[in-house]
Amino acid sequence: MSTFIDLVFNSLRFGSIVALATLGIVLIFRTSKTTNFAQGSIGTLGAYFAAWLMQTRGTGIGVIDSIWVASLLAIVFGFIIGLLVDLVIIRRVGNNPLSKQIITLGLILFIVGLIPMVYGAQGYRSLTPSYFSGHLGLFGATVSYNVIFFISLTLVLMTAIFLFIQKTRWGLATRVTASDTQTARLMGVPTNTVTMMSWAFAAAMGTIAGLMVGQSAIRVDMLVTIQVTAFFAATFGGFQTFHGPIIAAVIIAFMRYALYTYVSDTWDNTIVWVAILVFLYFKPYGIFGKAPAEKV
Amino acid sequence: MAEDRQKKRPDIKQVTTFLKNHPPLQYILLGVLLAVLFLAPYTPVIPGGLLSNSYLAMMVIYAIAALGINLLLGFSGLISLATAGFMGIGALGLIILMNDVPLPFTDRTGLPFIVAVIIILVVSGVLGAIVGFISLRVQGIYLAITTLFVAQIFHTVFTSVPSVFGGTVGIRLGALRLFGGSLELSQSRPYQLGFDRYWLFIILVVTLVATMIIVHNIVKSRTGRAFMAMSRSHNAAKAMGIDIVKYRVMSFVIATVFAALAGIMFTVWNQSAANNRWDLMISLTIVAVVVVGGIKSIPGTVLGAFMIYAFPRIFLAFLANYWIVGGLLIIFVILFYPNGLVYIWIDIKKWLLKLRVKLARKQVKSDEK
Repeated sequence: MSTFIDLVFNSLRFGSIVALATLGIVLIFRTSKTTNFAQGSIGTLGAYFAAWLMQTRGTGIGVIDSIWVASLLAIVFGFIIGLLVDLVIIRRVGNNPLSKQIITLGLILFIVGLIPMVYGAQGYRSLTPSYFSGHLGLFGATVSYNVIFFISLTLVLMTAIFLFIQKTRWGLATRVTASDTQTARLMGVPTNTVTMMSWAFAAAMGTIAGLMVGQSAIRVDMLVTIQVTAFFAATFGGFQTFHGPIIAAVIIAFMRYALYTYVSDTWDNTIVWVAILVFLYFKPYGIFGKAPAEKV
Repeated sequence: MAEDRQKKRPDIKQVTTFLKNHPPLQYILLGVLLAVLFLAPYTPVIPGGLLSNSYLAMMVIYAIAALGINLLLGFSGLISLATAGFMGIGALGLIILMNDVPLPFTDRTGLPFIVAVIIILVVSGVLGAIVGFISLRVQGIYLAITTLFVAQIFHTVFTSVPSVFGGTVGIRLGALRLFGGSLELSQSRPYQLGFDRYWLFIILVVTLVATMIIVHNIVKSRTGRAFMAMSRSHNAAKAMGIDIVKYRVMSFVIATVFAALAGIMFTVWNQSAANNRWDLMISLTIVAVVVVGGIKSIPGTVLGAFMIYAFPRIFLAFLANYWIVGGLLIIFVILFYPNGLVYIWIDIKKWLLKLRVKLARKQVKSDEK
């Protein structure tokens, strides 16, 4: 029983991190018509910002003791980075989706080079202390309050974002832009602003994912696995919906940890990827996706 | 003297027009140029010595893989992010086949180089065909991520079985034995003129030139025209009687075989390979090589490989942080030359023409005075 409880909470933890990253990717894909390969890198930049705020002593700047304040500032920082990326780069690329994809690769390289330049070449420790200390005993397993906090934070954030998208004027503008940018613009929706805000929110969510991973390690490649899994979740769930990728993220996480615990600790990833690939052969646009209509 | 010059001028023009009409000769010339450039790190023109040499070699390897992707992306309108996986198959496969596979009828292990290469190319071609069949069902971004799945499966297989594929340190091939062991080329032999590394580089360059000529011939053939028709509109191509299944699978097979070939060349040059470097980053870089260099341009692909891989590392090494410049380079090139850097020639030509007109005007004005 205790291994099963561990399994559930581990997969929910991993699933929430992936879900945050994947929602950002889908938001950008729908409004900006590009896959953001730099989602993980932007999150890493944000996590480094928090580590820099907390761990740079003796320089006179950026000495913040509270992880809550540092995290909040990092999320704001990520939000601004997202705004800037759209304003300075993405908006000017033109309409070729391939160019936009490759420009996000340029962004990855830029960020990978920027991190040691801005934050110094010395490494950073993981983000400590954790947000909540202590453990909860549950059917013989121990679950840290921190993990419960991550999961519930993700749940609250997702609910807030869905309410925002479904109920508010801005949400309506986002949905309209996502379904057809050109028509939306003709109807007077400020599509540029909507796209910019999607980038900002996506970057902020990436930063939250970065902060969650940052509790165990701060490295330049700390979000690579999350990034790749987030892509897979987006495809598995279907890019056309906002809820599909999130459900897919949790399914993937659960499959991974279940295989890891009960079947094989070396082949878990391979089995999951092959299974999804086979699934995609029969349902190529994901669980909730529909095949896009093709113009003749 | 004046007569001599007048005689020679049309000759040069003849040579250039002849070259223009025979692109394969251009590619061979480019190969010769690369072979000469390899010696340049020992002059003040290119700094860096040994390191610059190995960047040039890696540039050639990236260009070989990128040529396959250019065919896929530029001409067939498809995308693949599985390149790194197939490069990994080439690189790691060559070492395993040449080191560990027992030779039949003898007690030695290790297949001959040529046999190993053929086996790898056939295997990766078959795998490429499978990817092509899977790809029949998806388009655009879904295709990109589906191929990424394939790459990720290879990546996890490579990293999950360190007993076969080596750890992060990698597995070593040692000296490359050619012609039944009568010729051995080793990376680690001391560095002098007529050295082993030069011959290894020549093998890479010959492969690159051969790939360029093959791609050129494919593009100019019936197959190439079918690819281009397919990239514009599937339905229109179908209506014209083009077998979509055949050509889609074929373009994937070509791309994966070239990627495996690039992997083989990686091992030929480095003579060892790590199991964990064949990740998304490499696949993306190769797509970037195509986009930055010039979609649908064969020399542009080599230019792109130079700009993305070799240029920042060789000429901007003094900055100690060439990543940032490499990233900015990609961003700026895409912002200002969305069709690829190779089209910069057109702008330069325009600019020269403007300059010439300006000069001519000045001449006329001063004549009037």
